[in-house]
Amino acid sequence: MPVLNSLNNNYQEKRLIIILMSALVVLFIVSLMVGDVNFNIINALKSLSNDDSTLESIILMDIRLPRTLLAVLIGASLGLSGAALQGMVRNPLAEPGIIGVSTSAALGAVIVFYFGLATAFPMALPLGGIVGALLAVIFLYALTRHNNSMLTLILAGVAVSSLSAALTALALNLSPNPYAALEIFFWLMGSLADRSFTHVWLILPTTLIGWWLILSTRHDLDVLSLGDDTAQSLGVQIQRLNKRIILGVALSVGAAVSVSGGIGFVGLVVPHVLRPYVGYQPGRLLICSALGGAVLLLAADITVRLLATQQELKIGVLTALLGAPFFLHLILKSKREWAP
Amino acid sequence: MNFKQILLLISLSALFYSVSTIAKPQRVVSLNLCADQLLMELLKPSSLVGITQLASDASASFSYKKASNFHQHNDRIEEVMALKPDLIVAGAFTSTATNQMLDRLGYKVVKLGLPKAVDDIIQQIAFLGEQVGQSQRANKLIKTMRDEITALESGDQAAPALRAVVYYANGFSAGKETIVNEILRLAGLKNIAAETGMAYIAPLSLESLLASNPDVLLLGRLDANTDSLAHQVLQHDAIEKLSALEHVQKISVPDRYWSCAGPSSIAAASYIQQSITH
Repeated sequence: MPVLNSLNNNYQEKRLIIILMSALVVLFIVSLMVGDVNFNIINALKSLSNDDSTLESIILMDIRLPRTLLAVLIGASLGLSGAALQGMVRNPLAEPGIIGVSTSAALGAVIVFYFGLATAFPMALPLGGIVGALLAVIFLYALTRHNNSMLTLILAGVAVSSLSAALTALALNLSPNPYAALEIFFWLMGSLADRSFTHVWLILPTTLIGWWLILSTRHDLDVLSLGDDTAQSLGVQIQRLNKRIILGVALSVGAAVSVSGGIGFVGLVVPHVLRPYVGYQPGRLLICSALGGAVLLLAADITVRLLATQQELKIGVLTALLGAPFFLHLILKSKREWAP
Repeated sequence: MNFKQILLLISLSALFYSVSTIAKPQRVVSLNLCADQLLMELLKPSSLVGITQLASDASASFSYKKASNFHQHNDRIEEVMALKPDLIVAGAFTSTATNQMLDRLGYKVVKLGLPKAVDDIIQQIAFLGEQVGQSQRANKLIKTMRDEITALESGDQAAPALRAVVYYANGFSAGKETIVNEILRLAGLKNIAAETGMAYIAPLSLESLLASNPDVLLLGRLDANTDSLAHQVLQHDAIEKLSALEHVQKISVPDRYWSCAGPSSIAAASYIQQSITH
């Protein structure tokens, strides 16, 4: 019977991956078609293949394509990191936004960006985000190691979040650039508007390394769900696993936040929705969550482009509208765990 | 003494009387960058006793050099009170809490609106000259402006007019009811944003900007050595590629040229006219 069950799960997982992949492909194409200027993308692609540049091909290749790629990369990083963190601390509320990793990444990026370091050395921008994210993950890990209650994690997250948000506002106000203070919304809510290939190349290397580190813990994470002792007796090096996830989350989320600002709740909603389809196994959840995160963020980005607001809505507003009620639902559902 | 002489005497004494009752303000304080720039033209540091900190910022203020001769206050109401002003000049959009507080404290406050055209600017300068008792200086300033406009209009203008679009920090452009539209007109350019029905300052998406088919692209610029997201959009790859492809001339115009309406607007038009190489 267990064999049959796992076979069934395997089939379900494969089907889920195929569905998510197809959704991603469809959304990718839709995303290239959505914008303020209407034109036939087939013609634009034709002129591209003939190597002649036109207005349409510039809009397609230099405005819509980098934006779409960033939504996929960043969405996948958030989904993947959410699933990995939840597996590591065995707590369904762990998410880069809620526990303050995104906000501290934003703080690191803001310091680097507004005080001229990024102009001197472009890679400093993602590195700033990574350092900020790393500090927050290490702090939260150290805190939850011996006291893995929901309450500790959430409260520590609130503290880290509000401290980094306050420091971000302080840094923006101290910045010599008069526009800086107005840009706090970008860093706290996130946006993909008018990003270019420069940003894609900036975050691609660290994002891929981060993904690789997290995905390498796939099998160990499944075993870890049986408990620390069992996992250790089955040969899992828990220290090594934790280090990889911490570093992987910092690399991918830190880089993502440094070009898009903090986009919340993707890492919370996606793993939670997909978990039943992978037999509640944290390791198997990883790839599905990455795909799901990419699908969700791309869909959200297409939506903000379609909404007829005078200035484009920040994408984090949309993910928060979706995610915050969800967060509340999760808390209410696990109410009994709050009592000591 | 005949009747005519008596009449002259009466009118002269009446004039003297009216001048002495409308006392010239001795201590003027400005709360607005645009008012700073106009008042610095009209008053000496001894009677313009306070201007804003922004006035000496080269990126925002056209008369930033002149500002070092004047005292700059920190915008807080307590310091403004300590300057003992007998006239305060504020923008019509200076935060209403400050305006209400000044009214409550009984200060005489003059509020300046936002001029949209040369005529409005001239009216505003004349009005301000009257308020601070420097009508003569105001008229001189107006005359200089008029001469400069004549010179601008006699300058070589391309026919048909080149199509231009303004792109500022954060992807904003300026439409028909703005001083920027007037500056473009003076420079002999056609403002594409106004044609598309934009009335005020409003965001223009990067895609619409590229598709608007301009001959000249006027980009806002900030002379600061630090970055901001607001200015990143002005360096987007897509803008570079389009200007290379369709031979669009890009002109960077420092923000100080169009942060306010006034003599700087004429300077902006001539700066743009001289930069055009088409």
